[in-house]
Amino acid sequence: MALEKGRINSTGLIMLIFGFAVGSSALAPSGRIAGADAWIAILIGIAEALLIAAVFLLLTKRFPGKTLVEISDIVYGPYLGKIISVIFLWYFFHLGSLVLGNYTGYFSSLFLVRTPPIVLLASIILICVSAAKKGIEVITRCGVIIVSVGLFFYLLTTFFLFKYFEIKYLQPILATPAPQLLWAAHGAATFPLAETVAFLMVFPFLNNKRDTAPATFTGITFTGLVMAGLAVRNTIVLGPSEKAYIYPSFHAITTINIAEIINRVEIVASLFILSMGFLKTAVLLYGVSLGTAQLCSLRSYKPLVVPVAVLMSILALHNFPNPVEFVRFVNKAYPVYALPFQLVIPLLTLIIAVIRKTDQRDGNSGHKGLRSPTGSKRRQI
Amino acid sequence: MVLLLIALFILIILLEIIPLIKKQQWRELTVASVLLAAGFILSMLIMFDIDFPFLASLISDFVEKSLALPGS
Repeated sequence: MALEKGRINSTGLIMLIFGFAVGSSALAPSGRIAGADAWIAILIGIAEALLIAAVFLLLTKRFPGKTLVEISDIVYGPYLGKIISVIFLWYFFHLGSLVLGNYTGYFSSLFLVRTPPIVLLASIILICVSAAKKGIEVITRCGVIIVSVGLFFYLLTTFFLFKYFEIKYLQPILATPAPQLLWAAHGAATFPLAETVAFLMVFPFLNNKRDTAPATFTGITFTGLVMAGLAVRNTIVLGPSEKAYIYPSFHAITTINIAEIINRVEIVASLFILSMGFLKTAVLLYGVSLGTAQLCSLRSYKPLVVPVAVLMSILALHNFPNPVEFVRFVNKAYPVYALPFQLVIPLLTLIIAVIRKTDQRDGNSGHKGLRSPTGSKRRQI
Repeated sequence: MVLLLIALFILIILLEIIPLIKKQQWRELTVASVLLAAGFILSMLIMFDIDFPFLASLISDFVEKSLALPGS
């Protein structure tokens, strides 16, 4: 019995990567420490994220049809492999809690200020639990709908903001000192572009494995370009005051007022941002549950979804005491914290796999007890 | 509030754990129960106002103290 029977196509994967990455960045724009040069930082960040993605894509090319947990088992052996898998699953788990916490903070500080955060958090996580239990195919289908409509709305709000554009706010270009610009670029690469490393739990379910790399590169580049567009839009609408806002996208959209008829569109925009947050949390919840099930050689990941969601919710409430701490974490600590998970460990795994000449075939022959979510030779309990 | 929390966990046990016993999926039952028990204990500790450090703040402090970062 396969742990996951669903299959996704490359368009679905691109949409899912887009929804996964852009939701968080619309909430807390990347590269903002570069000020008006944020868009340049994001463009540099795309290049870095593509390099990081190349590493984990080479890994998935070497082990097609294997999830991260299975790859670690093959490369590092049953004991060290499990430790590496736990480290990775921790990252996905913590990332999921951070996303949940951000969205809860966003809604409880801007819209539903008198509602206890736990109520908002429970509402979000319940939908994520439902989606994660249905499997990756359902999450991807949701992604296609949400991203298509969300992208249309993004273009529409940008169009509505056209009359508020002040191009002079972008000037002077490249006034940010180089180290700060590069740090902002690294920040944009790690949050959220290279977070696509979580898709190592999703790649095995792609219909055509050859599409993995093109779809991922397209997804990351597309996301990066939209993020750069968002950064430019926020800067030319809000000007230097953008830096003062925790959620600049929200405040930029708040200014929309077309003939006193079309206004307060930030509510609808926030719903789309929330929908993309749902995609990200659902993918991470799914990844952690599936990974844990593979780690413990279970027959199904579904019984683990609710317990993992409960733990994720508890951590989500205990990540930051306030939104300012969140901005501090994203700008300063996260680019350092995320790097081992996004680059160092996948690179190390790839190097060890190359040195040991381990590949899919060796892995299958050497670890007969290992469960594959896609293979047919699976041990039945 | 504590009663509400206990009721919530009982509901989760009824919906998620009991079916595993019926299907005799012991391994799944063990892992799910351990995770759920951890969740229950942590939420009880929070409910009784036991102070936990904020995780992301701890990471921020550690990174800022260890490295001189641009923009710090």
